[in-house]
Amino acid sequence: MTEIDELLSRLRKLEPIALDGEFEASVKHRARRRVRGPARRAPFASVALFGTVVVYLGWALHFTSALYR
Amino acid sequence: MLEVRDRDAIALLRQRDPRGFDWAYERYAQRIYGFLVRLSRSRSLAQDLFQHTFLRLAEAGPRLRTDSDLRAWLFSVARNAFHSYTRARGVQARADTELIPGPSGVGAGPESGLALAELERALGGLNRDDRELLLLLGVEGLSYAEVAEVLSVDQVTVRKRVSRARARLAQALDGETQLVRKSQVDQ
Repeated sequence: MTEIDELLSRLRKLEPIALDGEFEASVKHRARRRVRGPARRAPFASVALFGTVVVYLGWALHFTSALYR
Repeated sequence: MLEVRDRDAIALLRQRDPRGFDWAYERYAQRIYGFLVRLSRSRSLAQDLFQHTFLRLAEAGPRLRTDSDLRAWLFSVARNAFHSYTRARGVQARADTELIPGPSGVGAGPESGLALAELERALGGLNRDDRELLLLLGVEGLSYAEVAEVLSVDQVTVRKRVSRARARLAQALDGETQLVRKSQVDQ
């Protein structure tokens, strides 16, 4: 058993294997972006879309009610 | 027992703070990469799997439980990615010729570079399951409990398998030593 335990401690002495710097930078960059989560849409786009829908529905209501006058 | 730094890293990840990722990366990147290179016997495949592992951390980090064992979790993701790859292709992983760096510390300590190179070769010659077990327990220094968690088996099974894997490594090393002696005699 002692001989076998020596084997495990010898395994611990194996040298670390270096990562390529450029590859590392690319992985870190992508990962950090994912941690932050998906980017929020510009609030202006949402407000403009909402306004367009309201104007269209208002016009449709006005147009339909005019048909029954 | 969880390390304080790991718990801090998880807490930051849960708040979607990239510093949590940086901590985890700084601490485990090289170890995960070394594990994958030695397990897959291929640097290019190890890079793909390494990238998968850390992008998975970035995605799943905010949902990790605060008491998660980050080290075991990362090794588990890396190991599962490797097994999914080999299962999908139905083959042993692709193997590169220039795999592990040559010994740089020849004569630098009690363990000579030559002996470490023999150990690398013997480890590389083992079957995948034995190699995986010895990498986690021996090279990476995970506890039996952590290895059991990574492999999704109980500790008794791990101990039995380790015993067999150690015996096969010792046998392989014996063969390696004889080969080296023979080549020295031939020269």
